[in-house]
Amino acid sequence: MNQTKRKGAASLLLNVKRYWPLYVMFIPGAIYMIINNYMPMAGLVVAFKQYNARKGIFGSPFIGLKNFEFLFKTPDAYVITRNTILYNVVFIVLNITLSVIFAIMITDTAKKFLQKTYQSMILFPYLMSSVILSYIVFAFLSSDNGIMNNSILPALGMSKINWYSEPKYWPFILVFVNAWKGVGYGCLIFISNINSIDLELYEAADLDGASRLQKIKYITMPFLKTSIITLVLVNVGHIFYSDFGLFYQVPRNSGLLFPTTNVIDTYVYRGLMENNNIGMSAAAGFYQSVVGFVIVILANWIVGKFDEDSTLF
Amino acid sequence: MKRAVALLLTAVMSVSVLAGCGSGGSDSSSGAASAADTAQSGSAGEEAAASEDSSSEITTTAYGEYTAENPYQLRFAYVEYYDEDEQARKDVAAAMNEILIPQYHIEVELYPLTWNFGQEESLMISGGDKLDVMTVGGEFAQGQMNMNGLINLRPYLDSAAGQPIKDVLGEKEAYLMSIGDFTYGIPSMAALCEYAFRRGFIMRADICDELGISEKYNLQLNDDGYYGVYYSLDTMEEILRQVHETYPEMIPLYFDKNNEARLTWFDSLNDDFGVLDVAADPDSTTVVNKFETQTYHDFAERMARWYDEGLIYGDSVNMEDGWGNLLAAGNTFSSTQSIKGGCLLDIPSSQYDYYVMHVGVPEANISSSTINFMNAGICSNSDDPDMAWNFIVALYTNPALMETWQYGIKDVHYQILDDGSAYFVDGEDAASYTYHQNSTWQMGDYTTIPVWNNAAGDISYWEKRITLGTWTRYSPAYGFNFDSTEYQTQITALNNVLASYKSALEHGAIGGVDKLDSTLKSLNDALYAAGLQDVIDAKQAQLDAWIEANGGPAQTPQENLDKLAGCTLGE
Repeated sequence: MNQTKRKGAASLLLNVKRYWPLYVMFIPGAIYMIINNYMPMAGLVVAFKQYNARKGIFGSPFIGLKNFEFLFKTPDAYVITRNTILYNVVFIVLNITLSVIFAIMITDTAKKFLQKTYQSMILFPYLMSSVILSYIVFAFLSSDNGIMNNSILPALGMSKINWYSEPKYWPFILVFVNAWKGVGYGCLIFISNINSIDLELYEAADLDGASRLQKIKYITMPFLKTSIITLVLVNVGHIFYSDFGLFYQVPRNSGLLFPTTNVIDTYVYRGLMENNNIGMSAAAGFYQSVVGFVIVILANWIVGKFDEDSTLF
Repeated sequence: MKRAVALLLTAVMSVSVLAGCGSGGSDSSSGAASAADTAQSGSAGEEAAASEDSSSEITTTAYGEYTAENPYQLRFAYVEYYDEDEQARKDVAAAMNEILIPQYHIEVELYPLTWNFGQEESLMISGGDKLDVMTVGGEFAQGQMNMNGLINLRPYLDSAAGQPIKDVLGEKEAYLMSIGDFTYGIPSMAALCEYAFRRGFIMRADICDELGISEKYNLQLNDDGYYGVYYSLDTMEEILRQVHETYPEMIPLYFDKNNEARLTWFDSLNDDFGVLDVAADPDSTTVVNKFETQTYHDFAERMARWYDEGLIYGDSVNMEDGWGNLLAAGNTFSSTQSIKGGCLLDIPSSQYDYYVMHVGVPEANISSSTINFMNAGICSNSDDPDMAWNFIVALYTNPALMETWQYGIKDVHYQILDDGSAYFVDGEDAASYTYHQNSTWQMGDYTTIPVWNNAAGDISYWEKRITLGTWTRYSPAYGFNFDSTEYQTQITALNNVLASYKSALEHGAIGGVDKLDSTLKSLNDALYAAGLQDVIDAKQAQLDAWIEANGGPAQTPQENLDKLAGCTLGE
C-alpha cells in the first residue's frame, strides 16, 4: 500500500517534470475553478442552518434537515420529481439523436454556403431567451388569437382547444419546443467532430463501394461515439435540474398546467419567491447537486462496464 | 475513478479550511436600541421638532458622536420609480445634506433600487454591505426579519424618540407594521390614506353613450369621485352582456394574471391561507378557509359564468400585457380598477373618455395587508441605527427634506404653480425631466408638501382622495400581521397548491360552471393535505392574542359607519 503510494507520487513528479508546460497552462483554469466552483461550496452548509444575516453563514445556528422538509413533505414531491426526471430523459435521448441526425445531414450538404446557412438557422433558436420563446409559442397557442386555433385547427376541421388549460398536450409541446431550441447547439458539437474526421477514410470507403448509410455506420458513428457519451454524461449530471425558462415561461406560469409542467426548479421558485428563505433555497440546490453527482458517478460506472475508454474519469 | 474521488476529497478539505474566513466581521454590536441609547435618540427627536440649529451642536448616540463637521454617513436605499439623471440625483443629495448636516448631523447617500428591490436588499443584507434606512416591502418583511436583516423599531416608537412619528401617523398607526413584538417598518402616510381595497368598474365612454348606458345610470364623464352610490354585480353583468351582444368581437371585461378581478374581498391576513370573511360578517374574527366560504363560491361561480358567456377575455389567465395596451388596440370595453381621485389620468391610453361605477358593496376595505406595501425600515447592517431612526423621523417631520427628496431642487427640477401645486419647471415635462422621484407612497409624510400637479392642471383629485378615506370600513384585524416563521414548510407547499388553481378559479377558466364544486373540492383537499389546518390554527391563536393585547378588534370610525349607512344601491 505504502509502496504504491510512493510510486504514485514519484510518477506524478516525473510527469510534472516531463510535461511542465502543460501544467503551467492548466494553472489559470485551475484557479478559476477553485475560486468559482470550489470555494463557494463552503456555502452549502447554509442548507443546514437557520440563516441569520447578522451572524453570517457560518455563525448561524444549525437546524439539521429542517430546510429540506418542504421538498419532501408535500404531496407534489412525487409529481415534480417524476416530471423533472422524465422530461430530462426524453430531452437527452431525443436531442442527442436529432442533433446527430442533423449534424450528419448538414455535413453531407455539398455546398459550403448552404452548410453554413443551415447551421446558423438551426442554431438560431438556441440563442433566444425563453421569454421570447414563450411569446412565439403563445402566438401559436393563444386561445383567442393564436395561429393554431384560428388557422390550423379550423382548416383541419377541428374545434378550438384551450391550450393553456389542458395539461395533457404539454409534454408534447415542451418536448417539441425544447428540441427546436436545443438541437442546434448539440448539432454544432457533432458538426465540428465530423469535420475533424480524416476525409481519406471516406475516400477509401468510396473506393470499396460503401453506400452512404454504410459510411455513416462504420466511419462517422464510431468517431462520434465519444462525444455522444460525454454529452450524455454531462446531461445526466443535470438530470435533477431543469431549464427554468422552459418550464416557467413557456407555459406562461399557468396553474392549470402544473400537473405536467411543474418541475423541481419551478416548484422551488414558486414556493420561495415570497418568503425569501436562503436556507431552504440552498437546501433545494444541495439536494439537486447531490443526486446529480450520484447519478453521474453511476452513469460513468455503467459506461465503464461496456467501454473502458469512453468514461469521463 | 479513484483519482476523481481523491481530487474531490482534497477539494472539499481545502474548502473547509477556507470556510473559516467568511464568518468574522459581521458580528456587529447589539441589535435594537437599548433603553439607555433611546434616551440619547430622544434628544435627537426633540431636535427634529425644534428644527432650527438652536439645539445641540453634537449628537451623541450609543454608537458614536457626530457634529456638523463630522456627520454620520448614512446610506438611504429606496425604490426609484422614475428614471433619474445621475448628476441630478447627486445635486439633490447635496441639497438634502444642506438640510441634514447642520440640523441632524447626517450626511445622506442616495442609493436607488429597482422594482426588484426585495432581492437587491436581501443581497446587500447577506453581503454585509453598508445600508441604513431602506424601503421594506410588505411581502419581503418576514423573510428579511427571519434572516435577521432588520432592526426592531419598537423600542424607538416606545421611547420619546418615537413621539414625532406617532404625532404624524397616530398612536396605533405607527405600530401597524409589526409582527408580534417586532415592528419592521413605518408605513407611509399615503398608505394610510389611500391603500384601501376599492372595486371600480371603468368603462369606455363612447360605447356607453352609444348603448344608452350612461343615460340609464346617470353617469358623469371622467368622474373618479365616489358619492355613496354603488351598483350590484348583476347590474355590471347586464352591462357586459349588452356590450357583448352588440360587439361580439370586443373584450367586454379585461383583467389579467397580474391584476385580479377586484370584485370580492377578504382580509387575507397576509396570505390567502386562513382569512376573515368580512363580506359575510364585517365583525368576524374567526379565521376560515377562504376557499370553503360561500362568498368565494359565489364569486367563482360568477366568474365561471362570465367566462363561459365570453364576458371575460379568453386569455386572461395568461395575459400580462396590461389594460393600457389592450385599450390602445381599441377592442376592450372595460376593466376593474382601484378607483381613487386622479386615477383616470393614469390610464396610459388617453384616446378615450371613461365612466366609472362602484360595484359590489358600498364601502372600500382596509386591512393590514392592503396597506402593507412599502415602509421605512432600518437594516441591521447599519453602523448606527439611532442615527438611521433620526433620518426616518426627519422624513416624516421635515417637509423641506421630504420635498427635496421627492421633487428635487426648487426652480431647478420643479416649480410651484399659482394654485400651490408642484410641477416640472418650464421647458421640462414627464419625458424630459432630470429629477422626479414623486413616490410619496413609499415613505414619509406627503400631506405637508405641495401636491404634484397631475398633468391635467387639476389638483381637485387631492380632495377626492382624502374624502374617499371616509367611505372605508376597517377589518377587525387591522394592525395584525401573521408571524409565519414556524410554518415555512406548509406555506411553501400551500403557495404551490394555490398557484395551480387560483388563476383558473378567479378567471372562470374551469371548463364550465358545473365543474366549480369539484374544482373547489380538489383545491381544498390539496390545501388541507399541504397543512392548511396548521396555518389556520396558528393564525387564529395569534389573532386572538393580538385582539386581547389590542383591547378588542379594530373599529371602523363612527363617522365612516354613518356615511356608509347612507349609501344607496343604484338601479
